[in-house]
Amino acid sequence: MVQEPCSISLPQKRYYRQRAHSNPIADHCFDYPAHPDNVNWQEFYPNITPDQHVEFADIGCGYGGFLVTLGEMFPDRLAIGLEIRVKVSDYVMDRIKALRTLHQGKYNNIACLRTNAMKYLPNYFRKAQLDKMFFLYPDPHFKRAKHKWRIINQALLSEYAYVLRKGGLVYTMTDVEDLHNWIVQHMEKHPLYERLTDEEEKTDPITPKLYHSSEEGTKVVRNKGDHFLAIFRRI
Amino acid sequence: MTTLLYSDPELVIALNKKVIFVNPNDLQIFKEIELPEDLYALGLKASNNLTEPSELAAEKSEEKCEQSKVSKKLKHVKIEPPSILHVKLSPDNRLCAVTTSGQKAVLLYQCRPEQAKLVSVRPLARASSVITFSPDSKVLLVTDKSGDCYKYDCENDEEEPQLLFGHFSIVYDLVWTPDSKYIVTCDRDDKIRVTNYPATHDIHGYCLGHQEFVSALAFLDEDTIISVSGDKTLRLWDFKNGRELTMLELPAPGLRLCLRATGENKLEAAVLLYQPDECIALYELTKSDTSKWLVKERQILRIPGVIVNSICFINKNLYASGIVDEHFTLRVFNVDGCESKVSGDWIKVIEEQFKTEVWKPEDVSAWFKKRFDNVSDYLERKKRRIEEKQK
Ligand SMILES: C[S@@+](CC[C@H](N)C(=O)[O-])C[C@H]1O[C@@H](n2cnc3c(N)ncnc32)[C@H](O)[C@@H]1O
Repeated sequence: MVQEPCSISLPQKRYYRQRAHSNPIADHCFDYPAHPDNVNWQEFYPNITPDQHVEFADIGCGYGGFLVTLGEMFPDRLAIGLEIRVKVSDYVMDRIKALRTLHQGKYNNIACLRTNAMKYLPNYFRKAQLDKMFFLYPDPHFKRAKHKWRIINQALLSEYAYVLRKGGLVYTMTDVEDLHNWIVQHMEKHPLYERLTDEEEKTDPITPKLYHSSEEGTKVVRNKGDHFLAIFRRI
Repeated sequence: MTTLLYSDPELVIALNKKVIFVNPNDLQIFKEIELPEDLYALGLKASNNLTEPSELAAEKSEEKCEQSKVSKKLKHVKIEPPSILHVKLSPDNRLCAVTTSGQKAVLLYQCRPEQAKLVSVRPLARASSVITFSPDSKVLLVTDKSGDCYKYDCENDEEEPQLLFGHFSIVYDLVWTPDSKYIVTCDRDDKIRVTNYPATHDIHGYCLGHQEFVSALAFLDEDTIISVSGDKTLRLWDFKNGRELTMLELPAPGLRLCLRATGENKLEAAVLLYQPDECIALYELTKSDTSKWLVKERQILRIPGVIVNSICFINKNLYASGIVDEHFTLRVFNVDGCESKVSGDWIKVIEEQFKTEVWKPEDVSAWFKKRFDNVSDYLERKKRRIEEKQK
């Protein structure tokens, strides 16, 4: 892989801009492992121990802002960001490398993987492996014809339930009310999820960190009324 | 599409508009089904209503959307006659299910020894890819090109088809354990999935290892399945634990599979291969005293000049249907070394039945993954940018 010389500073986003929406259904040139056994996690987490495995997955991690936060909040647990766009995922990879160089011994618990999360989760993760999944500011795909591109639907929810352990949590956050309603409706209809109570949602230590998107332009934290949070438990 | 299947005592052959049920020994025709021309007149409702409640259906790819727009427009102009996609007989032999394209529908026929009576016509969201009855014959599952699996109740025609689960690419085969507890499916994304039944929202597990489309599945015993794939392998799986047991190289990509018992703990498998002429490979499967299955290649059958599309065993004979010059042909092989009792004249009589039907072979090359590289270019540009900066 080509790498930014890392003696210097963090990578600059202007080199990594890319059209916002890739088609998640078309074939791509993804190299994916045939089986989770075939993944060499050492390449992602240099200090990984044999009994450690990825527990947190940020689906569609964008430029990785939240992934970095997650790494700081949970230094002993491994988090992965999944991102479909070539340049954007490459930005996150370079960003993590730079962070590791700038802060020796830190950020070894986060990594980014370029893949299509709608197709290849079972290729990377075993049944009940994940403890938390994050769907933060997913692409809304407003047009009805493009609803199929939405990262939440009945069939995908079954697949997420497969990689999540019982009691694991799914965090969803969006600033599009329509999409929020869609997510809640589908999650509540699915027999393997239940929504946390308001109280539980409020007191989760991760909640305050979910209020800003790492996508460009949406960096500004708006007032909370514009954000729609919903957290679900895998049952 | 043609179908060739055996359901004791009948060999069933279907193509375009007609299904015939014949005695496999003398190829005498027991009965036949001719599809009605206009299914809408028989109460078929336009299929778009069916997909409405579930956006999952929306998983279909962009171009399909376009297609359906086009076909909706066409519908007003002229009604395309229905054409057979798939045919299955229920395990109790009392029902025959037929899916159609053109006018997309699921037809159920009640089978009597000398005739078949149409009992229901229900909408089909998209062209079917596999159809399978439940072991108790009460339910029909239909998977479609987008990976969705719908359940059709065979006892209550009024009940709406119900979406049970979805893959993210076309499903090529579906088998149901005899105890009804698991549905095993395989798809174009190299996956074999084991889904719980009736709790179909709950994925029991995957059997992963294939590296191309998985085209066919069959049970060897209650814990073991066999699969064939475009990656030129045949594999055996402990499917409840998602564990690969054995792998064997095939001479070419595998497209279809059929089995016959040759003794106690002994089976023979025929694999239809994606290559001209030498297109069927036979394997012997033996279960050892330690319950391990051993696979041995037996022989390759040559069928020069025929694009074989369907195969099935009937006792010691292997029947293969295919295309020569866009027309139906049937071949019968004895795989046990003795003479096949099926005479060439009888086969001609069957081929006559489909003489007027034109049948174009499916382009199987489209099953393989199309790889395109959207990374190298980007990395090359990045490298240059970095080099420039360093100057
Ligand atoms: C609107 S952005 C949000 C990014 C980030 N989560 C945030 O909060 O700022 C959605 C991201 O999901 C990615 N994405 C969309 N579909 C995906 C898929 N099937 N697999 C992986 N990533 C996907 C997009 O490329 C995009 O970067």
